[in-house]
Amino acid sequence: MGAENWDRVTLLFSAGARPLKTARQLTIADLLLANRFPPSLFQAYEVPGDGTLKPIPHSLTLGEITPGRNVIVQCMRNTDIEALRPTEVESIRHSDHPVTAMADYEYSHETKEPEHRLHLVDSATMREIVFGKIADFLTKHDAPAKMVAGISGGGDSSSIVQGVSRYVTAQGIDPSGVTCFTLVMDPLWPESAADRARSLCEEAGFTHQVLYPDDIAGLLEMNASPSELWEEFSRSYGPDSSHFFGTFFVNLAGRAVCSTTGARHLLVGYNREDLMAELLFCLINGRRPMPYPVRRTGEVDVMMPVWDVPKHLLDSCYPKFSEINYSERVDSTSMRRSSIYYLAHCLDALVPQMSLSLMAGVRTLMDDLDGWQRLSSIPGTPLVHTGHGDPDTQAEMIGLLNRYFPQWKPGSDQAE
Amino acid sequence: MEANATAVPTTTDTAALTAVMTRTLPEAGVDRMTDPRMEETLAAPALCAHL
Repeated sequence: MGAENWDRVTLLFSAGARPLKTARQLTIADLLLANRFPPSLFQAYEVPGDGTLKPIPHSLTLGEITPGRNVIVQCMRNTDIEALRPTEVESIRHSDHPVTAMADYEYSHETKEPEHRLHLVDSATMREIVFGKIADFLTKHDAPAKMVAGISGGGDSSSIVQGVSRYVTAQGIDPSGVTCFTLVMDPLWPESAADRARSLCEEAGFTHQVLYPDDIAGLLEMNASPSELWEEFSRSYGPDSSHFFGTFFVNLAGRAVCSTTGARHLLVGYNREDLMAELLFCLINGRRPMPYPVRRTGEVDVMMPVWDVPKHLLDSCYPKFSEINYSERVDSTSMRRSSIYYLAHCLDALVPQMSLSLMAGVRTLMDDLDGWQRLSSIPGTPLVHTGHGDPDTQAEMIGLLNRYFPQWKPGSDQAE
Repeated sequence: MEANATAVPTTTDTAALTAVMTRTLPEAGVDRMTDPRMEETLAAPALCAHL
């Protein structure tokens, strides 16, 4: 893109558009990042011309450099630039209509001839890759004939359905043993997506349950509509709790569908950065990591077949869905959750393999040490916890939930 | 940054691209710091040999 197109690029969030820096506002650090160099590896100096060097912060913009002076940006370690050459990237075009770029960078080439590539791939190829990965994951983990998956009807759901379909076909499994469910409850889960979910499942031969508020209440033995619960919950904990409430509720409903169908495996669409954000949060707070890509939750094994697929590549399977999804998304972010996601995505910004490598290493380490965080049941309820919470606030929330789930007997030895 | 688009045959090797997507840094050569003999003995107290 030519510099004349600088103003044509719009940065868009659910909260609206935000400006990009202008060319004049770019700092020395920004230039380093644009060349795939971490700024912390460098010290900048102005060259006055009298034989001395004047150290300057690399936060200076190009416009702030003393007029007429040159600048040296000195690497502060004996970095072997010939072995890294991060600016030499070859684009490999795999399609006439690519929608995404998959990084393929080398950092440790024996002969110091790194070949950094960007594979430009179209959505059909991405779907092939993701469907195949899901099928391979299920094969590797001996997924049984009976499985449950919560699907919204969006792009990720389509990938899960197609991947599972590929698996059951290859294994000669009766597809009707796979039960997908879709929750419908305004404003969290609009009905519009349920039709799409239904046709996806019909195509694959899966059993599909659309659960409206009354169905959800029946399934979970509630004495009131889940909408009423959400209203009270959001009043008590704020509307930004929607992501947490929604995830909790889908998990609870999914495990209940497992129970009614005799399944013990629940498929979820957690992607690479979902897991990395959670892992990062656990590690920086000195907590044991939560297990992945299979997590025992109550009586159910939660399986994460796209745990290692980056979100942007998952989204690129169905770019249209993503576009609609984010334009319709409610501007409710939960500030700390939003920050940890930002941090997780930062990890791969210069080194796209960083998060997966950390996840793979931590997984091996936790397996070796038996160090994973185990989720223990809260007696008398289907809830599970890590034990990090404050008992009083936990009791308060269980009390609120218990008013809507009268079958729960918190504190009793009998898990519901 | 150089980014010369190279045309390749349209038959895409999805298996190779899948491998690219899930290749970790150790699998791509960042599995040791130096000659393993040095790493295991000389460098054991300070793997990065930082002075």
